[in-house]
Amino acid sequence: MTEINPKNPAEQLSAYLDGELNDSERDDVEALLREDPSARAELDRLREIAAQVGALPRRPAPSGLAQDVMSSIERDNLLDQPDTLAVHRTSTWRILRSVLLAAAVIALTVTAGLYTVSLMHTPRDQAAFNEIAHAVIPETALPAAQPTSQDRYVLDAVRSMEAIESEAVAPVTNQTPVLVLGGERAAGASAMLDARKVTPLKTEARLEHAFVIAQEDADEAVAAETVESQVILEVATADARDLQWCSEKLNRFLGERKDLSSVTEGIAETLLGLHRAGGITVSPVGLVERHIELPASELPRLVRMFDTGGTVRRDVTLSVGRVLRARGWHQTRQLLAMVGKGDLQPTGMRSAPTGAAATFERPRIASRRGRGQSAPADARRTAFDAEADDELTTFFPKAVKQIWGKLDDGTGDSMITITVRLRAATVAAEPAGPPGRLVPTLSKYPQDP
Amino acid sequence: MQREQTTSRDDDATLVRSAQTGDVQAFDTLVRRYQDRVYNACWRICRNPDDALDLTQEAFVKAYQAIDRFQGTSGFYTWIFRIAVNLALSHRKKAKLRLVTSLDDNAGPGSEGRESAAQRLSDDKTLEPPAQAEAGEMHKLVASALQAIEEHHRSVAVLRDIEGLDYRQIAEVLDAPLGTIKSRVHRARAALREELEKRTANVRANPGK
Repeated sequence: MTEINPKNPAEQLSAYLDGELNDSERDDVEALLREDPSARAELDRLREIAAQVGALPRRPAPSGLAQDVMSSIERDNLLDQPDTLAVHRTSTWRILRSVLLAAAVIALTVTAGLYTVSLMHTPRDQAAFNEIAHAVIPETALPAAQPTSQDRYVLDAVRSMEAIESEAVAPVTNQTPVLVLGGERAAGASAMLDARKVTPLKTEARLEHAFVIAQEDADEAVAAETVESQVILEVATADARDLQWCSEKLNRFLGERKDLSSVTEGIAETLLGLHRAGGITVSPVGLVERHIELPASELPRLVRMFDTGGTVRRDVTLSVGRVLRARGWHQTRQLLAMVGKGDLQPTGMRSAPTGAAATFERPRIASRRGRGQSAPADARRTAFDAEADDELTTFFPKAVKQIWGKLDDGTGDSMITITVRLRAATVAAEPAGPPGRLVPTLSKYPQDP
Repeated sequence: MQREQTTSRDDDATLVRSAQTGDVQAFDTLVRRYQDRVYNACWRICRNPDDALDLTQEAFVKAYQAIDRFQGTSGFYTWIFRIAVNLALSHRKKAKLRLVTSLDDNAGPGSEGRESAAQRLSDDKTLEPPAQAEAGEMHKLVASALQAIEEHHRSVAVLRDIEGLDYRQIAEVLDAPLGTIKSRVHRARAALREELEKRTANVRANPGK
């Protein structure tokens, strides 16, 4: 019997099939094939597999790819020319000033009143934030007129910033006001607040408790990115003490860091107790987001992706550290440009395609809408009602488990954040007196077990 | 065929030389010539059309940036593949979980008419991966088996059996010795056979599923 490559004769068959053997090796294989029916069967099987793989449908490149590549190259070429670079940077900075104002305001909204068990606050972020927040609002740009009634909804942004500054060492309290506007209106209002020309009519306090439950892959080397989900429950009340009570109870869960089931059930029980006592509404926002953590080393690639233009996902949110956050393609691109030029030094980046936010649906429940009737289209923002307590205690933990199950396939890092967003608001009749006072009302809190 | 390849390679070399002297149009011709093959290979390796698009773009941009250093000892085609496959493999390591998680797949009642996460993530609707692309049942099984095997096996299977590169070219693309490639090609086919047999048995055991 002919012997070929006794270490791995089958390997020789593959190479024979591919025409990769020299004359002598080929003669050996052909001799083997003549003698050995099993070798012939093996060769046929290898040929079949190669043909099956080769027959897989081809997917053509999306139209516009070449154009995008060439646009990117041309842009690079332009930027390499020193004369045009200076002009480009100047005009970009002008745009950036306005964009970053909006980004800073949004950042305030996001970070004020927020604390999680995994704070990543860094002095460098803070410095960058302060610099931008102050630099982009020149004194001359401050509006002299009184704010509109809508703008009075805005609270004390300066205090919010102070809250951010102290965030790394202490959780915010229910006295921490938050800025709740975005966009152009917020920009003007923020400037007015900075100058303390506004006495807000409405005061709002907000707390967020985030329960972060992480699954870490044993093979850390291949899991540089994390898939993260958020489930948000919004709790609204007119009584600031509700927040304190809730906060204390939820903090216990934060401290204990139990497993997923006990945390979700604990949250549900806590909120249900308050709900039964009356005076609050709980809304499952049901936001599920997938954040991709990007190390700073990935930055050039990200910048390039955006530079190619046209094919980059436009519904993106990008955060630099915890303080700066750009929403949408244009803001993100500008923010990246700043980072790319070294104006900001991120310690890490997070890209969250907001368009990928999947909302969880409320289940078909037996309620006064009728058994089996599906929830309305806007169900995810519908408050729980008194007859649907089971939604809070049954559906919410179930929904969290369902989302977790989808994330946690055991192949990498995944993380779910359950956020309980507590909000209390009261409106004063007159814009007099110091802002930020929340009026305690009834004593109605369920007794702690 | 050999004649055609030689002509194409000569032509590539001419275009590369033009690009090296600053002729952007020449590079554009190269991009258009190879974009489909590069994109398809990236897609098969990284399994995600959006990522494949990003990687293909990045590969061509990197190639242009380094065009002055391209000596022409290998073909442009092999060179661009080397850049793209390296990017794809590096990307796969980082994006392992992202690619296997689809929040909207198998959505329950009420999901009718909703876009999938993948659809919402993409600006370019032409990218949406029609299930039709893998129309035949056998294609589905083979594609699924290809995704299941180890990455370095998948790479050689794609380069050899889909792209038709010879062992020497694959060795250049993957920067590995010829003997290693020879061994990997066979192991890839053996692994594919195993995965295919599992899937075929499963289909037989659960017909209609």
